[in-house]
Amino acid sequence: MIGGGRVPRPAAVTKPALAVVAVTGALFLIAKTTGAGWLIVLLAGIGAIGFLAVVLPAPAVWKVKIDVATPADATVGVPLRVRLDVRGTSQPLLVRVGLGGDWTSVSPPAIGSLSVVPERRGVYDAVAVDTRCGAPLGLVWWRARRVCALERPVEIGPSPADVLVPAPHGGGPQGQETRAAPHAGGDLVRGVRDYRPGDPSKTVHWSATAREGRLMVKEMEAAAAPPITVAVDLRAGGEVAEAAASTAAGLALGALAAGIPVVLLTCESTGPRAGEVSTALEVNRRLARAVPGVPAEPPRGSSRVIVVSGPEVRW
Amino acid sequence: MSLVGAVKRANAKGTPEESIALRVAVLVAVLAAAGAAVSQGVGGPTLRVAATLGIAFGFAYSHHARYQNGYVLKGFLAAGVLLAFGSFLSQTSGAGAQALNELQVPLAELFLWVQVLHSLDVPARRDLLFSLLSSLVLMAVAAVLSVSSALGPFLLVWAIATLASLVLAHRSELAERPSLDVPLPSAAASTRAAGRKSVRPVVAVVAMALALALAVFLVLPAAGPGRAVAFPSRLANRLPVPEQGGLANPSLGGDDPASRDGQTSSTGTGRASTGYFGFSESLDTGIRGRPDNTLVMRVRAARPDFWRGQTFDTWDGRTWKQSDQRIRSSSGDGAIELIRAAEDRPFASGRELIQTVHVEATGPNLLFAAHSAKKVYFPDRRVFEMSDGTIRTAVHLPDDSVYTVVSERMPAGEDDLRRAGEIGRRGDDAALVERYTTLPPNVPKRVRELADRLAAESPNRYDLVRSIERWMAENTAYTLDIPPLPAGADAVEQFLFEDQQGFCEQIATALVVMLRSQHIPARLAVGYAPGQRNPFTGMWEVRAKDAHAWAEVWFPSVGWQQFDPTASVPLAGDPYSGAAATGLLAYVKAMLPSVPDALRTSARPLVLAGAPLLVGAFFAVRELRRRRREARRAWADVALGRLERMGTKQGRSRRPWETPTGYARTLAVSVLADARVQRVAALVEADAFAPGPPDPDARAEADRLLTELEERVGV
Repeated sequence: MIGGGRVPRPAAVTKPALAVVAVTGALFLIAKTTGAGWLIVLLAGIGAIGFLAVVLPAPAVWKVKIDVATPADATVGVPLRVRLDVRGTSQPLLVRVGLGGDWTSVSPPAIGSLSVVPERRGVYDAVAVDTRCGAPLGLVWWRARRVCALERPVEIGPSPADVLVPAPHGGGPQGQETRAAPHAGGDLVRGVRDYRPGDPSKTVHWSATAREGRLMVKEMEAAAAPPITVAVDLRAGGEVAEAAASTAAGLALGALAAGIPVVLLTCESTGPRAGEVSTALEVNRRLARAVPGVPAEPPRGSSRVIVVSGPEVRW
Repeated sequence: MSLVGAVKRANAKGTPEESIALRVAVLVAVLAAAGAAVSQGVGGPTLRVAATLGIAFGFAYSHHARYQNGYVLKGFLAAGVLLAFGSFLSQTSGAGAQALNELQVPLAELFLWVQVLHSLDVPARRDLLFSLLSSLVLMAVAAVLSVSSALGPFLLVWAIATLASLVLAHRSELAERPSLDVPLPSAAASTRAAGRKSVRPVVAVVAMALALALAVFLVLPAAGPGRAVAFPSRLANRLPVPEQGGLANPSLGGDDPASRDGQTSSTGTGRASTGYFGFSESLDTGIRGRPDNTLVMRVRAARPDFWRGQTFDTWDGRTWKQSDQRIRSSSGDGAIELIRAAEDRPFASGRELIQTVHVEATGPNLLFAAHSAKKVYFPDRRVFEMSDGTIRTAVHLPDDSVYTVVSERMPAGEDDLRRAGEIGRRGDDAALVERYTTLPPNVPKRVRELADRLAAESPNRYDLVRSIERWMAENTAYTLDIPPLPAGADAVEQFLFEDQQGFCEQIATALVVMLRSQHIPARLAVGYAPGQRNPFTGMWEVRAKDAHAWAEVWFPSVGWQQFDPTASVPLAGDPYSGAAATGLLAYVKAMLPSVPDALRTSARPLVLAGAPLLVGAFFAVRELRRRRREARRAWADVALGRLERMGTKQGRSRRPWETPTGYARTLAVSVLADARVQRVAALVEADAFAPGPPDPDARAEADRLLTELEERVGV
């Protein structure tokens, strides 16, 4: 993603420009064969317009200065507001943030934000920003790519996959599985909340339902359930590794929602890392930082270790 | 993709264009192009009304109906185009040999009709750009047809509107994209800013394009064919001259050789201001008076030349006449091949000069052209050639007539001419020498002696010609205001030794007589000097005052060559700079009103005094604009700016992504260590983003806090 220089390069010659070139060639031939002096005047004007159309966008692309600021955390597929400070030229141009944004028009100098949908997981301390400019005539476009350092890196976690979370007391893939549920396996009622599709009927809190006039379910205090350990192995690389990270995120978040403690085993750029995660943010950051490599060893006594090295889950 | 699919895609309806400014700019460009075409005689009354009102209505309707499918309209437009094409076919079905030339106007009319019809169906930006491109073609058609500077204003308006259209179209294209979310200060300020953002680039681009176009124009080669495709010819009416092959010159009034009784008159009764006494059967050097500044013809030619009308070979000491009045008739359908003078035929070099002459004022029935004409494109099927190769027509040549002459000449330069002719009789045809060296017996002795002396110093004919020209330049003065020729006086002697001043007739006659005295064949030619080149049309604009007389001198291996010490016309072999802008400065200068002498003499002090004033005015305007910009800034901007200045002074400037409150929080706990900063930021944000009107009390509070903080910090 990061790379390239800010040297402007021709990006596109538009269809109107090509049409003008064709007509100009015909006019030149007509001028030479009819002797019509006004055609030469007309050609001089077209030549001037063509020159301006070709030349003027290049300095705009060359001179523009862009500062980018992002939130510290993001998730693949979830729109992210990126703040841009675009200055150095007064020509309108298009910018695209390399994290996964679309072309956005800007009239510099301008400070504002745009929406970006991150496409790749990782930790980025710089982003590539593509610029395109055809101003002022829009007949010929120039483009350049510049790498903008971020004051604070953005950690983009994987998009959580929709996976089944092992039941608190389950023993493996054959055991009972559940989605993140209000009934987390404890005996103490922590509170009540609105019913959501999928909640087991036995969790309905009838008294509260009668009182509120709508279905309410009990939220149970989590029992001291044994944590699940998710080992994230990204050594397959590419899309398989990304799918593994996505699966791991789905597992971890699902488990947390179900009140099950989660230990993530990953490999980061500094080496293998093992540690418990207790919030979605921690899951996001740990998986954003995960790189291909041998994940950390599970802590001693871990009973349920889930190895994720692709879209599938191994026990 | 299948052909049908490709056609469908090409005709898919584009996104309707919302920008009225863009639509108006394109409309102006199209109207300017249509107006330019109409001003060149394209279209009848119906088309002219349609081209102005119809196009404007069409654009208005297109905007109104931009969201409609318009299938019925498209059918109607298709039928209209077919109708226009049918009209075009019926107009051109009888086109003759000059088909290409005759097709120009009907083709332009067809194109204009298509433009009118198309204006009804321009809902999207793509359609508007197509209209813009077709206006370019229409403007080019007008440029081909135009022979005058009248096209200039149309072209200027079209260029400005086109540039504005391109800028606005580009902005409209960008507006279709998602844009950066920037907080807007206020709706009114936003509208003003948007207006400025549209107008400024248009003005800047127009200024740059005009300056650059001038620069490009200066380096472009001139239009002008070595070999043209179309040879225009047109005759407004076919009024025969009284005598076939005879000379008629209505501009001479009572002296018109076709109407008077054969007696030479010098009264000039009823003579038009354009009438030149040399376009007659004789040329009396005793006659005074010159034609005026009226434009008489425009000549489209790749290089300047003498536009010759006729020559004189017999001199009697005062008057020139033509000894050989025999005529030869040449005819053809469109193109007429000339027989050419016997002495010109051996010098067929193949180097052609094509001249298209647009007659602007009725004159003689002479076809003016560079020596020597070999082919004529003229609507009348017949022309008459004199023995010297000059051409007369069988009909009068009213204004708005057009003819094309192809001339052929030897490209002889100075060195060629030096080698080409010795002084004396050697190498010359006897009959030619007899005809063109004859002088009256009473040529003054002083004239002969001067010629002998100059000939003795000259090794060849060319140098003798130049020597005589130099002598006249040193010893006589050119003036149009000379005393009358005394009765019985020899015109050449009077000019050279008595008056020592004269104009082209005297100068050319003296040259011819002195050359003849050295047995060098020479004759007097009359016609027009090249005139002034109009760099925009590329045509030579010939005025009545350009009527001219010059000498033609015979060189055995080259033929007739023109010499004239009073007009700067290159030799046929001289290189000629063919840049499009040739003559631009002279043309502009001629177009500008003359600067009064008093102003000219006081120009230097004016410049010296004005320069500092201009510099001062520049800085004053800049300062004024800066203050205006400051005044236009929203209160919140100014307040935030004050806060930022304080932070920057303390070493903590605001990061681009920091909100005012976030920044203030940092300042409050670190560099400024003052909680009032946060209160200021909160007031600023509330002022900028609150939906209601600004709170004056809140602003006053923020201003007070800012002032206190500034005093503390020392800003």
